[in-house]
Amino acid sequence: MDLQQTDHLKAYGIAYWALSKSMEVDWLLNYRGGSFMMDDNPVLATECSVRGVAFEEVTASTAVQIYAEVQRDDNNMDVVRLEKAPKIAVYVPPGYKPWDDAVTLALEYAEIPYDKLWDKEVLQGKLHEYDWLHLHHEDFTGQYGKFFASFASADWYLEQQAMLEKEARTLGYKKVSELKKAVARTIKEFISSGGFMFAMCSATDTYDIALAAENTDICDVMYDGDPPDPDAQSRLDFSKTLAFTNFTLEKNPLRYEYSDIDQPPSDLLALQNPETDYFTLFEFSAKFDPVPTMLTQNHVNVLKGFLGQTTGFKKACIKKTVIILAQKDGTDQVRYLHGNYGRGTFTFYGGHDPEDYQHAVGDPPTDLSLHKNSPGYRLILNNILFPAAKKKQQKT
Amino acid sequence: MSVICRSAVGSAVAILCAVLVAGTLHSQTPDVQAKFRLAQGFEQAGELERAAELYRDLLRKEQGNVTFFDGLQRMYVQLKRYDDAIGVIRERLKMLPNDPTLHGLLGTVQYRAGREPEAMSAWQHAISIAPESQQSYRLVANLMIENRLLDRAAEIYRKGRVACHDPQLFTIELAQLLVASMDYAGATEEFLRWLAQNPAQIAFVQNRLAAFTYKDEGRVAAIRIVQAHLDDQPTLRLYELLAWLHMEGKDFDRSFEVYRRIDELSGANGVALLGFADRVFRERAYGVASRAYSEAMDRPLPAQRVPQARYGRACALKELQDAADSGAVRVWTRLRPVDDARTRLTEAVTAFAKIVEEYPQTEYSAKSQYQIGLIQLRHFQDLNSASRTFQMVLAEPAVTPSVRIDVQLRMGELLTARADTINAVAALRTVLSSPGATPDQTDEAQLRLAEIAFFNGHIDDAVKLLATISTNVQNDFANDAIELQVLLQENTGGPPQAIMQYGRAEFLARQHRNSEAVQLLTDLVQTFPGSPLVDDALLRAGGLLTQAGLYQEAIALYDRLLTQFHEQSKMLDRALFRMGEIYQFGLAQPATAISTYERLLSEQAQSVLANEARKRIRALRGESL
Repeated sequence: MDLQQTDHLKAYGIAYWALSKSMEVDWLLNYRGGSFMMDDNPVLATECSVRGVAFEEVTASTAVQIYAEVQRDDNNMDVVRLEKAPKIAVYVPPGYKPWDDAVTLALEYAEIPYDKLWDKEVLQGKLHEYDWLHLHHEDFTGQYGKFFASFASADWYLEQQAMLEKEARTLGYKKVSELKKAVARTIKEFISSGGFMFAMCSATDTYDIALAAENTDICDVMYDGDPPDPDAQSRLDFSKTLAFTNFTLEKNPLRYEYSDIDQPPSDLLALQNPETDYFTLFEFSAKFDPVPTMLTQNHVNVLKGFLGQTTGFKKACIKKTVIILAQKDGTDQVRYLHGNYGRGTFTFYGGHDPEDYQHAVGDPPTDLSLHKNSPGYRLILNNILFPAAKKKQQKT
Repeated sequence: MSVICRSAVGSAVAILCAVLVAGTLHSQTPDVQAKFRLAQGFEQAGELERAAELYRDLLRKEQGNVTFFDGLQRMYVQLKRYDDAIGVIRERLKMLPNDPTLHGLLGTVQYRAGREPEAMSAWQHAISIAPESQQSYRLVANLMIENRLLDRAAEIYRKGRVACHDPQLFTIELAQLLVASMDYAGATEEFLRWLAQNPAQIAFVQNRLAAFTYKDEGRVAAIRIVQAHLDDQPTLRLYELLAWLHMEGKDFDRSFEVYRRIDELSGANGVALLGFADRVFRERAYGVASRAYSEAMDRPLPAQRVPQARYGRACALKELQDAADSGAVRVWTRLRPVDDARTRLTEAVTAFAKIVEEYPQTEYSAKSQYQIGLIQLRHFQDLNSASRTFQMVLAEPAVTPSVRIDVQLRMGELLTARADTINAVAALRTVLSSPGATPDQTDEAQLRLAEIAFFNGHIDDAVKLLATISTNVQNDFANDAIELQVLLQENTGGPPQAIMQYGRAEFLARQHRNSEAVQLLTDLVQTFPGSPLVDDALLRAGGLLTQAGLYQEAIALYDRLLTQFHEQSKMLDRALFRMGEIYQFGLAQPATAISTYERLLSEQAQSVLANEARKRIRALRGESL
């Protein structure tokens, strides 16, 4: 899975496909950019050809040598056996299009199947049927993405608001914000009981904000019909969040921002220069920290940056128990992080679309066949396979 | 502030109160003014508690002052001190018990405090003060909308209608509310109610319906409601609306059924059907268009419209018969035998011929003649008949300048196919010198002249002529021009006789002398084995054999390219792909087609055709993509 691979993204799809056919798949962490080893099989070889994924056939003795190399003590590599294809759920509203969201784009391109869930299914407890839950450009604070200032009279905004309010009432909640808080708590229970959650863009910070604001009202009148709690900031409970702490809420309802977690702030994005915007993946010990190693497998370690409603996370707002996986050099902007909660884990990845520097409402979808080797998208797919890994003892 | 008065005596008192209570600050003491300004300042600075305190003091001193009252209750609501806000409102209600706005405000605050039953009760009370006044219902509905109680607001509007004895009341308000609540059926009902009162405003109603009819569920709901109304009381307006809804959903068959009724009801004698036929023709629904034209003609259509209808029908027939092959044949290059084309297009030719016969010396006659000539040239390959037909077009007095230029282009094509390049060049040059020629017509003429130069071995002239076309990538001929340009430029390094022989082969192919063309191309390979043209020649020969249905011979040539010229050719992927296509479409051998495409993937993994090959494999395997 180094630079010789013709289609990194579909390669993950091949690994998933092999798992779904009960084939054994070994993930060779840090070996040639993180490679997959499977038993030779003409059907597998044909499938690779048909999907355009490059592969090498090696003899048994070469395979033994590779394993030996990977497992040598002085090499920062390791082998992780992938056990089964994880069951994947994506949290998306009705009427959603798969190209609206980077993860579903990746899943569709890599031909990895997934189910769609929304509030009703989450509250009905359906999450426990899945191993992995993905959240993308969601707003768990109930402020409709804070698009009010720019799109208050847009048809899609009004329709979305009406749909969410109807949904909230049907499910027994007076306000959308109350519904979303309940959903956020249910997701937290899912993680606690062993689920894996991956969130991108605004689903990251809004998720934690919703958890922290459990006992207060942070939404202004245009979002929930009444003014916010004037003491909302002091009533935030950071002990309830997963990743973030000591953040300050954005009180202006017309500002396209939720809190100071997001770095850089959304109204300063115009100052970003795509030519110089990069972030670096950190290196971990494959043998002692297999989980962060799995999550950072890539054929490059410096990646192009990309913006989103939530682009990066202010380091000072991140809990000490969270592992930082990638950061923009020379800044306090964290781009990718991971943590444990209960028996499960969560991963947050800032930005909207790794191959669309600044994606706006109404922009055309990204064509992943033009970005087959996208390092940014590879990070998303690492998260999809990682739940399949056989549990290993981790660093204490 | 409003005061609703019921008696004459009451009115005098009310006016007096209004004068006293209209409490402008002009009559206040400086101290009060300063305090009020301070309260406003605190409010703007977000220090709501301090603002509330000041407003409370002010109100205590002037209990009737609406500004102070308003400020205080607003502060309490902002601070979520709902009970305090309710207390202040109730105090004011003691002074103005019949103020519906105050009751409305009380309802809002109760709702925000989470006391829905109390909120409903307050709003109901607001209405009960003047239960037959539109304003009461409007007030309460607006408050409910502010609080996002859209369904309840709709109920209020409906109740208002009944109470005010006006079934047309609040139509547009209710319609818009129902659209926002995604109750599309309800919204349609309201718009139809409005249309019944304003029958000339169908465009307005269509515009409003368009807000949700682009969605399937919105359109389906609207159609259901309109149909129900039609079943009850058929009117022309409703039929027009229904037809429009079906067109929005591209359901042309259903739309056609409705247009039949429209034509009958409006006494249009086929004119409405004719307009519909033209519309669906532009939408490329040729089957429906053809039937619609036919039915228009079955009605007593006004005489001046008949040729239009007949021409439209003939064009639709031609498109239908042409499109009948389009599936697999357009995917690759198998030519349909001429006899087959004659059978297929007979009806269209007959239809055009009748127009020429019955409407001589008209625009439609000229256009019909042109269409006949085109069919004779392109489908029947009957050059003599086509030539005569085109001459007749040029002789037509009513021929338009654009058709005249098209005829010259076709004559250029025809004369080239007859190997009469001198006259072909003359015809094409006429196009270039015609002031009314469109850019596309000019580019086509230029391309055909370049081809003739190539056929005659004048390579440099051909390259010059091609240069201007290929810079305009918007036109239809850019691809053909670029392809020829690349062929010429890439192969000028080899022996010039090779490219000239290739040109002669192409010329033969243009004259449909395919077997001679194939012979010349295979001779080229034999004579100039080192030429960069050998793979183009073998591929072209293979293509000509495929067109003729000689699949095994074509496969043999492609195989020769793959084996004999494996080292030097850069087009092995195309040969494999074409072989795959022959197995897939020509010989109907899917397994061999799959293995051929797979061979392309393994031997030519970097090919630009690899993705298409993958798609073909997966389609042949029955996988949905």
